[in-house]
Amino acid sequence: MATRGMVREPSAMLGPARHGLFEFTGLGWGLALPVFLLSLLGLFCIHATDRLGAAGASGETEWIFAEWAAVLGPATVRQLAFILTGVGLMIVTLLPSYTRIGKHAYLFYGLVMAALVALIIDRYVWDVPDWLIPVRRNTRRWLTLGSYFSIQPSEFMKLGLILALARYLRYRDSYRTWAGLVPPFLFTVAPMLLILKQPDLGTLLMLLPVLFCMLFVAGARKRHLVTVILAGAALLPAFYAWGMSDYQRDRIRVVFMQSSPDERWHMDKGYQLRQAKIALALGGLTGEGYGRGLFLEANTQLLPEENNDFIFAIIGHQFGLIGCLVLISLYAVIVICGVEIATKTNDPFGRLLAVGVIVMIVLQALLNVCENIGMAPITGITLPFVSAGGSSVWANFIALGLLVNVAQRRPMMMMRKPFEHRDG
Amino acid sequence: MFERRLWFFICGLGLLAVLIGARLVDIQVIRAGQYHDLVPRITPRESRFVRPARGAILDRKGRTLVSDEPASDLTMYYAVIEQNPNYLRTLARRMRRSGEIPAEVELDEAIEILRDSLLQTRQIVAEAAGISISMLSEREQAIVERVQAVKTFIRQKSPTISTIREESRWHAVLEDIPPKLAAELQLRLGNQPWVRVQPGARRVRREADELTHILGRIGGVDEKLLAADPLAGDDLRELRSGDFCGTSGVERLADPILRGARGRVVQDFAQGTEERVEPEPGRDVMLTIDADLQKQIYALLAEGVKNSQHPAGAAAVVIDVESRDVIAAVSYPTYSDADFRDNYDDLLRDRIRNPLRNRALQTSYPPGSTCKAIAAAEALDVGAVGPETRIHCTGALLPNRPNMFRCWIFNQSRVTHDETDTPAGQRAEDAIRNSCNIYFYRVGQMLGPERLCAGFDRFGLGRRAGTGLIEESPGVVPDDKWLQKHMRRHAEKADVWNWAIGQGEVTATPLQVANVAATIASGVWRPVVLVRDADGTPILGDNHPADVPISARALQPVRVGMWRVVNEQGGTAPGARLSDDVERYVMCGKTGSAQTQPLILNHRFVVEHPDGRREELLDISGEELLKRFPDPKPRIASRRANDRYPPLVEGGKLPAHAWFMGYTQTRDTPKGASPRGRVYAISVVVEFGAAGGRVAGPIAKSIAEMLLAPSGAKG
Repeated sequence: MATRGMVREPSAMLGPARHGLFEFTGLGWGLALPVFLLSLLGLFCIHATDRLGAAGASGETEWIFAEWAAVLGPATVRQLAFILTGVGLMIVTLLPSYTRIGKHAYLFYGLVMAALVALIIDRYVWDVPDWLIPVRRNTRRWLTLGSYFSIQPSEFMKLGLILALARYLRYRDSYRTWAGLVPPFLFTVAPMLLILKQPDLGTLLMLLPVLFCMLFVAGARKRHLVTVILAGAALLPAFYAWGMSDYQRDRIRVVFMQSSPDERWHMDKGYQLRQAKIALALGGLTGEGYGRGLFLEANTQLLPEENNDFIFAIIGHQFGLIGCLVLISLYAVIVICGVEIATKTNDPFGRLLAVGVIVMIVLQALLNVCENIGMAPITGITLPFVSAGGSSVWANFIALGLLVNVAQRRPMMMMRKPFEHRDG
Repeated sequence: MFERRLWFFICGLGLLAVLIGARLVDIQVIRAGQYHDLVPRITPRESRFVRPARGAILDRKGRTLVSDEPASDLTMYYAVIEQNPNYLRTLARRMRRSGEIPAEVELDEAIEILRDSLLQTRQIVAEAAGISISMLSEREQAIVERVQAVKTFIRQKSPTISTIREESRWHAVLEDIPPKLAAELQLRLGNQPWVRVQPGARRVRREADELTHILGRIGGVDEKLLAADPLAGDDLRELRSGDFCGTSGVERLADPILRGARGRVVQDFAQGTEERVEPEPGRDVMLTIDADLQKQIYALLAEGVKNSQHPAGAAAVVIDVESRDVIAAVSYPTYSDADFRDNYDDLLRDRIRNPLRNRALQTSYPPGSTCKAIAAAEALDVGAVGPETRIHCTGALLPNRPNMFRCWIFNQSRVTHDETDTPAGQRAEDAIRNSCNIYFYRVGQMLGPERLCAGFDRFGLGRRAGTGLIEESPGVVPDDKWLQKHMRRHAEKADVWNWAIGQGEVTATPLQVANVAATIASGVWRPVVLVRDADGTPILGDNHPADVPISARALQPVRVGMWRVVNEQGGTAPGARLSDDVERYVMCGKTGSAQTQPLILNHRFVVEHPDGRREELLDISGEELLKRFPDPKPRIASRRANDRYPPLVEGGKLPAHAWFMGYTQTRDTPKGASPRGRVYAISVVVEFGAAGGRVAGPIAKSIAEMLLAPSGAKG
């Protein structure tokens, strides 16, 4: 196949595969570098936006890092803690073979589903105490233990879905028939319904593409895929009409109203998007410089969620078009490495897992960027490894762990590649 | 196949990446300029306005009637008013860090210390303002409730908003603190950062109750005022929501001059600069009214109303004919600011005295016989009658209907003017002197409704006299258009008889009637002037009308007639003859007794409740009545006028408003010529005063004497 060589190119340059527990292969390093750079970039940008410092922190609790927070800013310290624990979780994920993890895929999926159901119970069945399930901004997305610990189950649902789908699709005949397609659909639609009621539109919209991409890559029949797309396309208007609340519809309208001359719209519903675009535009080609520029130096916050959903705009503001393109190419490196891992693995479960993780990471990244530049509705998807946030950082690092896990446990190469000689 | 599909997948992503890249180039490079232009709009700078002092309103002699006095507000930060525990905690922590509270104090203890000092603040404030702490708390509670209500409203619309603007603002706990107290509070509370004494101003009116109606009021701007703002677009001068501006009277008319230009403080955080534009105080305006004269006329009217059989209200207007300055426009009764603040409902419900109304230019009355001067002038002008044309007074207009369209003299004493005065019939000047109805019925008949209405129009009836006040009523000239619109009919035969004697649909304000007198005196109708700016340039309202000349030929007999009304034995207004104190001057005038319907004080309503129950109730209006009931409101099934003022007497006559209009001239002015000397046009109306000559005439006489007395004799 003509394309084969091109796909394999990076690995050929990075040297032959090795395996061992902590011995990162060339591909492992290939992943580590962009992820490290992205996390670092995220940390610096969060620090830059942490302008209010300790004084502005809502700080209801006296937490142990208060002294550090006073110096670095609370959000920065929090993000650093999440990244470090995230790396820890990644290493834990690396320890057992992914095949062993895969055996518990349904269990993991079930646990996350249970957590999602719990959130729904709070809304519809009985009132769970606020320290367990708080209502923030009129949504129920978090499971908490008072103010000490909080996780967002929907972030982990992405992982759960990938694992469950990979587990289910690993046999060829389970996805090349109509009947075989029903369970993957149920796997996807069930959590979507639960997440819809939280509500968390961003995560919800992520799940369908993950399913589609995994089916596509796994080799589902074309007509099946076309059917999936058509079904999705048919569902969207109905979903828009009945499934969404007003403000969610407004979010979608924002995309189409971008060039509206109505200043009131831009000061109200279209505010975030326009601010993001202004931030990007002020960055221009080369950017204002780290920590510089109007959006970082004004003493009021000009861009809502600036260290989270809209961190891309802040990056573009500081580092310009060049910075944005570098950021996108870092994700491209992750994709290429991931694809390489997938192709080098013979195990179907491993392949699907790798593809799922890549799809999840890259789709989040692209959707987030699209939201920032008005190509997609603003739904609150984070920029993986960059945006501030606990659960999303953890989920992404665990996903990364799974990917590296697959890379590390590739079957032994039977022979060395031609023209490759190891010196010394 | 797996790898081919992966390749497809990567191509798809690549395509998306290219699209994103293109969009980024679009935003960051190609159209970056467009977005740069938006930067000033996204408030990277904090811009604050500083309120300018409002200009004063002076009277024609330069006495200050209304002005801004310095007064301050005491404001508190909202979170402190609300006693938000999170905020107090943050504040306590911050104070501990800055050393205002010793660092070794525990946080909880620090919060207590903070609470204590807040309590202390409240005590100081309450003590200084002379109110109890509980009253202060009530005010604070009211602020919190107001803000929370706004918040609930906003959050219903956009649930994602967690804090609203009002929550990070300073709210006035005490308003209009005099400067001395403000300084004291500043001194005592200066170290407490959650309280601020904010300098401002208070509008103070000086003993000008007689001018209340004219001066008007200040209130918050509304959509209408914003839309009509002539200075919109000038961001330092235009009205903004939340501003105060003149809502009525001269405060409104002259608002663009009085309001001045706000100052602006712009803090640019990007550049760390502060740019200040100092506020420009509003300019003063001058009324053409003489406040002293106004006050004296008010006393005269009060006296006149008190002596009336059915006391209600009265009005008088004095115009300087030469300049058309309105030198007095008095409406009796008036009200004080304190009444307006405390007893507004009583003022509103007082249907007889109706103190809120500016009778001088807001209320239009049937002009009665004063109108005859216009009818005569118009008939002479178009040649319907000549100055020597004689018309007989027959007592009743129609020989076969002796009970209708009678002359007033026939009503009173069963004689005709032919019998008492002019056996050969009356000329125009005789008819005016005698105020003979029959003459004017016939003149009206000759003119016809169209030409008669055109005459009214030329003398300024049916259109505003040009003060520019929004209160000014145009009155009614019942031309065909008006009749069609309001009565859905055309003029009938008898209409024109009525109109010619100032009865029926035609109505005019005292200001218009005074201007009619000025027009007769000067030979030209001209809009009046009420307000001038500091340079003396008149401030005119919108649609300022143009001059209308009237031919001298038409006016000559009218002037003679009006001289005879006052100064000849047997004229209708001997009471208006000037006393010998003002030896150089005489008054010319025309009386009027305008028959009118009594006021309806309340109605008897039958309301039908939603459950079908019916009930009979009394109230002044349907609106007021429905205010009594909660939703769902009952339906008003029927209404009937109940109490009237003056009360209806069986077989009695209709009540009449007493009118007088006139002008002054020197004694040596040739008969029928344009008046010489200081010419003032005066109109007086006393509601339900009955006879114009007896009631209104003497008031006009006193007014003229005040105006013309040698300066030593009168203050």
